[in-house]
Amino acid sequence: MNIQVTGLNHQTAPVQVREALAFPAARLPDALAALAAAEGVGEAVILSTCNRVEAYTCSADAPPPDLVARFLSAFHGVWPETFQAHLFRHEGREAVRHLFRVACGLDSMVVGEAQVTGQVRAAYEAATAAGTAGRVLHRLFQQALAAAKRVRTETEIGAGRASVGSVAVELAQRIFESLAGKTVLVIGAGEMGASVVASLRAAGAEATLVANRTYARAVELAATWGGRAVSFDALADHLAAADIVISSTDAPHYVLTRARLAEAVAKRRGRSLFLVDIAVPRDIEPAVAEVEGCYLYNIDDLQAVVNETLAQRQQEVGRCEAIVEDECRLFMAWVERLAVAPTIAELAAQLHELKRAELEALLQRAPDLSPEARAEVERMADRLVNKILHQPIRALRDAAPDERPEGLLGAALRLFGLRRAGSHPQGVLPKPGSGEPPRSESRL
Amino acid sequence: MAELVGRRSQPKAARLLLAGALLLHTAFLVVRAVATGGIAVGTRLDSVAFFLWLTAVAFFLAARPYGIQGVARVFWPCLGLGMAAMWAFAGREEGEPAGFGKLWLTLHLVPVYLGYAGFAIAAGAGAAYLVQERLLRRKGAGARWRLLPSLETLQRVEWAALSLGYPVFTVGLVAGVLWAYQRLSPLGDAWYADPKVLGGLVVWLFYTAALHLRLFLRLRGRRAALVTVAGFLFTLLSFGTAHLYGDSGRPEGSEASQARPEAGP
Repeated sequence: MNIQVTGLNHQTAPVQVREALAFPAARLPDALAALAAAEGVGEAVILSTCNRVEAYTCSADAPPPDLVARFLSAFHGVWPETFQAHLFRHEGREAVRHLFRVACGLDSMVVGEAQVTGQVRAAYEAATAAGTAGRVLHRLFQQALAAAKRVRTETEIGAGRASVGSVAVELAQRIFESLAGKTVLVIGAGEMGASVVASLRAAGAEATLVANRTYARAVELAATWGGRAVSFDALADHLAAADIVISSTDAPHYVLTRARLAEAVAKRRGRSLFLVDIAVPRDIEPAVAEVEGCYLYNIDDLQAVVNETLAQRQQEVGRCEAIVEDECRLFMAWVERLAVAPTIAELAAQLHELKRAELEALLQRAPDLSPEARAEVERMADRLVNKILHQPIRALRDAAPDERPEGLLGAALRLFGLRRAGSHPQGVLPKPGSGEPPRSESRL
Repeated sequence: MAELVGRRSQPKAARLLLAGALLLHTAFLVVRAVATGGIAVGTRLDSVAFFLWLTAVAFFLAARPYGIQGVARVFWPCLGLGMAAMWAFAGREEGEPAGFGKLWLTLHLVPVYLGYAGFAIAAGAGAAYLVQERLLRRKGAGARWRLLPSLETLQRVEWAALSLGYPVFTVGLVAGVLWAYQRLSPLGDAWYADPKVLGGLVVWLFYTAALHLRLFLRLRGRRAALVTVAGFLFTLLSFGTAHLYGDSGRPEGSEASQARPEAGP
């Protein structure tokens, strides 16, 4: 059996290469069908995200090394020379470990991010729906998702937020019980400010007021967020109504001073005000932080929290890698057991055939045996065959993954004069798409 | 101990330990109740045990609905310290308060202790608010603010505990004052001069002023939390002083106890 992954990601390829080879969700079923139909490929799953395009395949024999490159080139109509240098390829245990690391967020741009686990799940479900995930890839992806779950619950890899926008949301959630119904006042039209507003809105903040020196630009931005444009000159009035202020103008001086804020806070009846100053140079006078009920953060404050989170996650990577290794070992052990299944089936069939032939000969030689005696002889023959089979089958199944079973397998083949069946488990397994997916044995 | 277990990523074991401790505490109160023939609050140990039990039960029941599980990291260790202090310092030698009928126990002591529990939880939430506020303002201190609930949540808990504790405490106090009047006036004593009556009234006046500040002068945030914490410290001081100078510290049968009956907490 040959498990392989071929692809490119944010570490090996620039964004223009990644986007040229990405698979839109609508075209994924066609892509899966095309890849699974390629020479020698039995099962296929394609993981396509903004940071990676990876094709997982499982086949009886090793497919040609450039198979996936040719497939990508043909499917996207791109010359292989434009991306081949960015491709990586792993086989067997390395391919398994790679998928587990990806699913756990250890291979992500922001270590420990949880989004990739959902993307792995979506890729697996797409392949299941397309009928291109057979028993091996079913098991592989289920175990990858189980590994991701273990990593989330047993380590702190997912603790904290790791982007400026999400840290702003988290801080807001430590000031306000809920962001639902909170009013966000956006001052300026900076890109980073827009990203923070998007995060806050995704977390539940509803009303958005937009103030900009150019009123037309404010109207345009307000329309994007379903908010309302307000006059830049009447900021003080709107400060009293807002709960969160995001400022990202390119003004060379302070837009909000302590005196102005103190005036607004007096009208707020003790409600807290969360201010995020993303502008450089700063828009909000630092002394505003001393005003009762005002919580001011600038871009450096938010970035410091992001850095702290990433440093904490980095400390957890070792524990996560240990879990990945553990899950990898379990999966490889399952694969090894799967590889001996055809031999076990053939061995059992051979001995039962031998039993049947011997019984037949015996009964011809002793036609006067009573039905009770015949039944007793048959039962004795069954017990004998089962007892002979018991130990070899157990030894083959229990062969530890590190103790390569080829030794035992070879011995069994020679001792019992068996044919060397294909080591690929598909010899005894349903073909992908041939019916319902096998029952999950994962611990999800 | 539960806090330490919880930190080792064993939240289930921590919850079991807490539930076990609460059950043991309840069993202790039941044993004392059987021994004294009613709710046991006659000795300092009994009264502090009853107060801590009410506080623990109230927090245990309110933590999840109010979303303040984060405060548990501060609450349970503080309660543990309270328990340790109780066993170390609270006297057990006193006799049962003389002449305290079961009706009065119900009407006076239970509401008063429930009120104390409300004030304690409000003070805990207030203290957590002050810590959280400081953490949010200190930018260099890292993201330790993740450990505590939001300022709004803590304010809500503080307000809920105060607004529930205050009226209940008032009922208990009125019952206590009536009882003191009935028992002490015939003996020619000034009921209003009893240290416990005075202490209770001063505490009540303090919380009346605190609620007035919140309701009518819109006192919010850090200052409101400071008032709540100060209120509880004041309550503890008043409670301690009243027990030190009140009659409850004197064993039943002593001269003083015979001359002037017990006046409650």
